[in-house]
Amino acid sequence: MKERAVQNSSRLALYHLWIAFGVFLPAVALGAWQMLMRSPLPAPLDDTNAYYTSVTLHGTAMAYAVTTFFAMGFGYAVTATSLGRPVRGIIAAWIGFVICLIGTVMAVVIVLIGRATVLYTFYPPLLASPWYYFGALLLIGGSMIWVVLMIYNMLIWKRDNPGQPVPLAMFAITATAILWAWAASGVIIELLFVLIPQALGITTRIDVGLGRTLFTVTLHAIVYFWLMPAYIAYYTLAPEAAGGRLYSDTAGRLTFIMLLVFSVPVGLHHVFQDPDIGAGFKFLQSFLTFFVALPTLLTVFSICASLEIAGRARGGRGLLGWLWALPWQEPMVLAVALSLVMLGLGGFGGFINMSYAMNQMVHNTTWVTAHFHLIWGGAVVTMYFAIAYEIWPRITGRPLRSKELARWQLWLWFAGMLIVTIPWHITGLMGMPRRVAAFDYGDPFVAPMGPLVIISAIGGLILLVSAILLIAILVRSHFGEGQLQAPLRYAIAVNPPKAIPASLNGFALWNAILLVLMVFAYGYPIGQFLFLKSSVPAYEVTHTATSGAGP
Amino acid sequence: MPQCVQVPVDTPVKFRITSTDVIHGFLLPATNVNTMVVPGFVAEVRTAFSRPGIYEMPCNEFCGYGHHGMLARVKVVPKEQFPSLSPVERTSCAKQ
Repeated sequence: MKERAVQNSSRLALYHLWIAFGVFLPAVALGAWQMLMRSPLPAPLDDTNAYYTSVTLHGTAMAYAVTTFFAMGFGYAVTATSLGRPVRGIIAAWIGFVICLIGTVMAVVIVLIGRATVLYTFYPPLLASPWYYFGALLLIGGSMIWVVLMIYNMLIWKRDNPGQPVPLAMFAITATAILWAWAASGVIIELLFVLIPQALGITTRIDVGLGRTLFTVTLHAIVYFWLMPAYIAYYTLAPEAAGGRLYSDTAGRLTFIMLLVFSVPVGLHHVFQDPDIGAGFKFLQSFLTFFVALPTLLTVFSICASLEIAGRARGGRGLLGWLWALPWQEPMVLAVALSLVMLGLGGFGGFINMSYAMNQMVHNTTWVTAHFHLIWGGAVVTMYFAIAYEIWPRITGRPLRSKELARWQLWLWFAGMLIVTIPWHITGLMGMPRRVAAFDYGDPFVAPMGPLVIISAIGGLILLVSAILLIAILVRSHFGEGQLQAPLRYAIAVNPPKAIPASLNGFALWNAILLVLMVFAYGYPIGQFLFLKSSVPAYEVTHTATSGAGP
Repeated sequence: MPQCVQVPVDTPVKFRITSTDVIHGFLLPATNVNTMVVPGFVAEVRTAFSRPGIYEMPCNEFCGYGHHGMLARVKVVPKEQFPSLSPVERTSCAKQ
């Protein structure tokens, strides 16, 4: 067995992960404040303008900064440890880090001074300061250096090890990188050709339909970019932490291939209620969206099977006895269980969202907010925590202080997220719109929602406590007593792959299939805007603007 | 966007909606009416209201700092009452 330290990527990974979690804590605090603000409870700084600025900052930080920095840092750590050799292109990696950091700071500053209250989804014809768009472009564009480095590291490893299967963790992180390139193409084209020319005054009108449609290319796949590091942990770290084996290496490869192929040509399910796309293509992409459930169902099966193997190896007997035999004191094992529960609840909500007709009942209500908070804020982020708890000791050479605190943190996050999202699901079905700063709780339509909103706001405060605890644990583990740690190991499959087909050891075929699917699913929906004369004037968002301030 | 429109119950109704400024959302809770309102395009929604009453219509898409104040109503009246209605007073949404 080769020694697998985090090698030359230690500092690189640590810097990325610290930025991710450093941005995470204030973004959680903003979220908790927003929940107080829109509830019947009193909120500090009761200002509706600040609410919308905060929503923009919360979204930009969580969707772009936390996730991108986390994926990049995790990717470098995985590259070094799974391939068992130093990351190639370390200087380029640091350049990418700096570019992304500059972009993040630019975007955050511009939002904070109130020049970009357009939400992270941009919403043309609302217009922000061009510096906000440049910031986003630097952050997203800078991460493309990481994409290239992941592909490059996998390819030269394959060249050096002909005929050998790429380790599953490396295969999966490369799938993540390729997916991110596909996903980001939509928002990068929107920024370059729709938003920035308008913000700079080069164009006088803006095509809202084109902008929205391009963004949908990003909007669903980005979610899977956020999600895939969690899935990598499910497959490669969780069975190892539980003391077992991975049920199937092939299931893992198929999962990441399916996530790549099925999560991009489906973005139109975010705009089922848009008049700028026809019903036919909405139906097509609604249909394609259902395939996204396959890799997740396959994953749930494989991970439960892997944990069962671990439980039985530890002496568990009977139908469910293996469950109690699992090492629940390990944060990674606990996290997987909590994460899968949230993934299940959020996933069933997702089936409703992706169903063309049912979507009509919930579109833009708090139901949707509840859905993606359960999936990303719940299932995915819980695994980010668990990954951090696995990686920190390996990078810093100091033990986690402590596993007990980590379990508290995970349980608090789980409880908080359920308390937040269950009431949101209910108010959503009652028709409560999302992204609204203040409600008139005296209104007979809104009044019954008041108690539910108060409950969810309490959940928000629990999440904030958990996020503070997370940072406390990471800081304590960073500056604790030095002590050598076991190297990061990945789960070995029950049947380790020996020789596998090229299609399960690379992405050329799958990229070609995805390209065909994209032309099929998006060719006309995007191409139509070259012929439609649908451009309209843009509206710069300023505090004095009254756009939408009717009735 | 008128502040309130009146329509008859149990009758097919078609809304044709567009925006002259930014994107908005047109949601009638407890019905199947839910559409984005996108400048440059006309959204079309068909429904039939099975119960008379006043339906709140909050804007459900972020449209600027005044978003939370954007609220209108649809009043569903008995069928026989509708033909006798005088033209409803309509107020335009403030746009700029």
